[in-house]
Amino acid sequence: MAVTYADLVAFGFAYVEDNVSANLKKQRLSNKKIPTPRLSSEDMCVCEEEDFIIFAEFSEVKGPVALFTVPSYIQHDEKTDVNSFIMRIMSVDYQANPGGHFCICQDTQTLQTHVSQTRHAYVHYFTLYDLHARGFVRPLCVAYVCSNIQKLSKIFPELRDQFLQLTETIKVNNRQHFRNEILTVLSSMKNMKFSSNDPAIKELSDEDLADITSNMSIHQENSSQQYEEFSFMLKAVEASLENVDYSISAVDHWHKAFTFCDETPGPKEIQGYLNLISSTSYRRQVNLHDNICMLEKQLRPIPVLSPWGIACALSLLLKMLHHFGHCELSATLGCFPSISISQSDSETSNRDTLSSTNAWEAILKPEYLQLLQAISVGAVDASMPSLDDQECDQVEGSSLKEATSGNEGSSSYHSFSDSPVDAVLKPQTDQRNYRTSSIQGSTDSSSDNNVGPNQQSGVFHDSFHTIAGDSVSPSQSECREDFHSILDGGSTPNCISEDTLINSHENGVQYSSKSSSSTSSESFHDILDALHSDDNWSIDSDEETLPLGVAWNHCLWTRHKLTRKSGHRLLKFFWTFRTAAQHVIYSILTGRTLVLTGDSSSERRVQRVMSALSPLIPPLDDSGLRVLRWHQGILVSAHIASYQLIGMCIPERLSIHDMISPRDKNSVTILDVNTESLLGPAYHGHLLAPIGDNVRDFPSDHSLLLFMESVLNGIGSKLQSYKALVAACQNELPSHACRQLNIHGCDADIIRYLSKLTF
Amino acid sequence: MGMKSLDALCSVDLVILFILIISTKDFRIFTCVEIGHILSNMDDDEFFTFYETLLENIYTQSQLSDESSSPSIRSVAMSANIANTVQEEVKHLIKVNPPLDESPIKYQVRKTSSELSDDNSDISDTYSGDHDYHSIEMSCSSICSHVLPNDDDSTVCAMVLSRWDDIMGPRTIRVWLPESVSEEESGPETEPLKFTTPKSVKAACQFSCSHQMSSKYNKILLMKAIKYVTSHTVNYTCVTGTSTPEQSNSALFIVPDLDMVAQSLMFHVPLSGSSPYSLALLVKYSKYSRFLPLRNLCQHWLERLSIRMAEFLLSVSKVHGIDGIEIPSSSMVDTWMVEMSHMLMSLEVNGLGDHCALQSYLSPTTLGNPLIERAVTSHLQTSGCTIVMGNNSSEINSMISFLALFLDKEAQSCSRLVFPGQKYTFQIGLFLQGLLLDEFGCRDLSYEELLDNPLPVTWVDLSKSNGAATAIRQGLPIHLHQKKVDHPENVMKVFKGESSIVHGLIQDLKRLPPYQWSGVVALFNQQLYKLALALLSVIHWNGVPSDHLKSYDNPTIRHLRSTLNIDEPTFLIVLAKAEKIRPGAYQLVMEGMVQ
Repeated sequence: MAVTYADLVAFGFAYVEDNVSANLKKQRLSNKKIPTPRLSSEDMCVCEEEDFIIFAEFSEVKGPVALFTVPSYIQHDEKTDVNSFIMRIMSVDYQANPGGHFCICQDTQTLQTHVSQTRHAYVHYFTLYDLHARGFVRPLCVAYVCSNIQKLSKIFPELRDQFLQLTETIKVNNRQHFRNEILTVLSSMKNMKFSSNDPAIKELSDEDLADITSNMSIHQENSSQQYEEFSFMLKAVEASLENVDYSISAVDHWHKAFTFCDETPGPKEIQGYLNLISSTSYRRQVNLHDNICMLEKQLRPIPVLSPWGIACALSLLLKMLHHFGHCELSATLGCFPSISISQSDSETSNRDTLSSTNAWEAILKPEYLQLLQAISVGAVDASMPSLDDQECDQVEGSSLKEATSGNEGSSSYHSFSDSPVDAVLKPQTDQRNYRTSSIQGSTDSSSDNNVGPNQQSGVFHDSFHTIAGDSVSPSQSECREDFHSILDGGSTPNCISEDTLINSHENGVQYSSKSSSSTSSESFHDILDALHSDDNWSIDSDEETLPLGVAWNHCLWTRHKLTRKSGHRLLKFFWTFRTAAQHVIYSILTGRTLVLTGDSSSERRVQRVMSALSPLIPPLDDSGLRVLRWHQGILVSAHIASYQLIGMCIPERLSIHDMISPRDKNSVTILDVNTESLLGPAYHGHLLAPIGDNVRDFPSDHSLLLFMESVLNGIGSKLQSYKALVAACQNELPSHACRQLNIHGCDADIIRYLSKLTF
Repeated sequence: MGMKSLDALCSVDLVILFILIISTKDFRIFTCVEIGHILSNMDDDEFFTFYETLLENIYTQSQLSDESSSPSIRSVAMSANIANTVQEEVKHLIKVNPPLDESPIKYQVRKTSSELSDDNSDISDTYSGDHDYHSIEMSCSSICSHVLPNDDDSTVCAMVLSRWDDIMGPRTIRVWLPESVSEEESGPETEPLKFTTPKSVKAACQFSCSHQMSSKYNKILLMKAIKYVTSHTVNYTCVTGTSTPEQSNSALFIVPDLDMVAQSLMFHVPLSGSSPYSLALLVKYSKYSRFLPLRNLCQHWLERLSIRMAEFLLSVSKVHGIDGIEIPSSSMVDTWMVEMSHMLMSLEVNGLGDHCALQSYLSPTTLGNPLIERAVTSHLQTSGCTIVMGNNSSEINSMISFLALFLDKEAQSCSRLVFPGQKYTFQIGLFLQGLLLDEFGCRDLSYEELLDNPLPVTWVDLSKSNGAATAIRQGLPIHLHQKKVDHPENVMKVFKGESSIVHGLIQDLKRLPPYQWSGVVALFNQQLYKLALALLSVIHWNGVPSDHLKSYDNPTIRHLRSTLNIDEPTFLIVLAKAEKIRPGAYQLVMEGMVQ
């Protein structure tokens, strides 16, 4: 809330939460009677309603019932009525039951629009076999629910493939289980045949057998028919278990992992699950509920029918939601874009990693364990006609939601509001609080906080030890932070917003490039000053390591700040270094090492510029960017050779010329973050021409990053032509190719450098 | 309760009577009704003992008569739902309630027909042993139209119109099937009688097939599929549901067990008290991957069809009343269905094919054409919807395959080439399509159709002399096109713009051999995509002022153009891309926000 509010005000909007309509667009191009609902820039993105997955059973006792949802809190969410939803997708039997013979049905898949008002669903129906169930079948479905029909339709083919694999594992494990049960029943029937009048046999048979046959009502008279029938079923099931080696190995893998966890003291959720699927617990449950209502039929929970298949499926579902759940209106940003044509390879490899699951990794993930717990509760709930667990379950669910839904902005805000200073300042606008929290960065490690492999941590640690002595205690820093924000707050975001507000009132247009040029650059300096002043605090905390070139994916139809994402503050970079920016990018794209210099108090500032620029730096290989985050001392050629980006401390009373040899100085580009002076080659050409003064008109880092990617893709297209031309006429010099494509001077440098890299 | 006095002896009598009936068959309906009447008055216990003895008897009989047949009697528990489905299927025939008394009949039938089919006999022999479906056979001709083209290339295997009936539930109203079936079926009995009794299409149409086992099996599957589609598209959820007539539900079904992929659309007839209808397209499961990229195209055609169909049903209801279960066969409606079927077939025959096939049509001479830059610019501005017409098929095809490089996979699947000697007409919804001009330089193209197209169209006339100004024409801008402005004479405007980045791209491509083009164009497309995302992001952050003048000098456009640093033709390309990503964006930018 604080996030949205602050940003809205900053860009000249009144806060209009209620105006934001959740009524979203359904494309209806063709039907001219109903015009396309109008889009408004104030609308929320479709992804505001998050995707989720429902796993439901058509219980012969209770009708359609949800076993669990992914993420698990959805089931207890009041906004999404899961029950009415599954009523709609499960009220009709979608499995085409050929009737007659016992046969192994194939899965049915449907894509249904408007299942509820705004939700659409891909629903996958399948059947598990259970000797105790009516017709021996337990109809189930697993549905991917999404608010964006366009996206759902697009991912549908892939979704279908994934779900087919998912249910295959469940079904294979179920059939193994079913086969074993039939075998037991058959052997018991054999026994009954031979000693029909001897009741002692029944007592002699082991407990497990009694459990299975107790509900079967095997009559003496028609046992021969039943025997035939069971052997027929056995044949069918065994036939279906051929050629499914992949699924069988997956089942074994999960079996091993879980039994290992059973032997060693594993997480309690796994214990709970193992408890659920063990036959003794089932019998206990039955006995327990026998007293309550004798008449209702009691079925085993679904996990009992396919214990390892379900365990595997849970992990796959989590992966799938993670893979497909992101908004369609987003692009992977934060790292140098792939500007050659090899996307198909990455897509296929992506698919492979999606389908394979690793039990050892999965059982350590809290979200997986949560699901496991949810299914342990839900399964019993579904099969047993009792509602004991309902209440505590709901409480649990809501608390879970609280824990998972916080994003970095709000979480830092929450943690902040606990501080005493804040309590005093409550009547002040929340927006200032927000400002402080954004500067401070999130205090807890959010899920987005990727600690990438490309952080040269070793080097960094060297430097921070030297400064660590200066740092203050966290509680102090919080107070100081707040104090700063109050001092600066008056002049920082408000002056922009007032200005633009006036403008927008005057002519209804916010597009006044003149207005913000002075004010916002000022305000930026204010912010920088604010940063500057708190440069020397809490450098020792891990959060201060800003990500460099780490990819992220965000919906672009939100006004979220990209706090702690690489590329954050790129816009500020263009504002501050307006004359130098294009030349800096030229240096980066020609592979020159960029040295960011500043005095000893400028480390944070250097870090931020690094983080802002990192998405534009082409990595030399897969290991990511080569960065020396903060160097104190003389810069030698070995540094320059091994790093693309160097942060450098210039001690007082010294200049950069004292720290680097003249020869090395010519091979690097040096940007002083305080004086904004640049030492390096100047750019003149066409490729980077789109990055001109217009860049400062971009409203956010996000849009600017997207634009920069488009520029890089444009270069990529040129690069592709160059490569193709060089390949086509091998005898000719590369310079000839450049001339043919009308690439000259600085542009040729960029193309030649990038062509040497392999992306 | 007078039946309470019924004793065991009586039951045995009944059983004997029953078996007798099964063997003679002639009076089945009658006797079943009678027995049903008796049974329905029985106690549960009495009934069960009755049933069990019956079962026992039949079983022993079948064992005596046919030792070799595999035992096919199963327990009550297992057959419960099977029996239910059987009862559901034939209840109109045998008007009795007890679900289980049909099982014996079925088993008996199985025995007699077991030599005909082996594995999947259960599906076919539900009906195969019976010969008294005359009444249904009559009705078949009244429900089915065998008009669709029957060809190996034909994608469609049936079109189904269904309706929710408040009393009878889901009803199949009309089925359109491929032609050949009607030829086989055209027996002497098709003419005489037309029953108006309730009928099951499933049972009905199964008798229209030939007597070869495999094709019969297919037919039965098809009938099952038709029934499946009917019962799943119009069911109680669509009546009780939250859906309003505005958001017509569409659905896609993939049912391998029925060898079926179906796409359906629900619609309403604009008449008070009318129940929902659904129109569905059935495709064989083997064509799944082929059908997948055509879904949106089919969706559009179904929507068009449903609008026309609603009007048709409205006019029919004025004559026959809305409650009429049947609709008269209409050659007009038939041609609509045939039209759709032809469209899908032409994609199958003249489609662009895979990547390699596409490459083979590319030719460097395409880039030599002076109108190429304008053509590409306009092609991208109309979201890839382009008609290429000319006299020379190879010239048309190389242009189409070049323009196809700018399309995604799905749009490529919805495009077609031309081959000499065939006649082509404009088909709505396709992305790229060729039209061969006849000897008089005419083409089959109406403005109405162009306006009905989901997207505005670019038209590239290769027959015009080099670089003629009128060779490239473009439809209305997307937002106006969608509103369907009523000025047919102004639909296609001469297009003169030329995007600078397109120009740069074409210059580069001219240096390269055709097989290298696709890679460069792919990156070019990415550049446009990123620009479109950037545009959307700017729109969202800055907002769009409400009602600015509808002049062309739109401050929003001016600002956005200068922000993205692109010229006007490029901006319109980017805007068209943005519209595809986020529908409504075009209108938002062009007209501003409505307060």
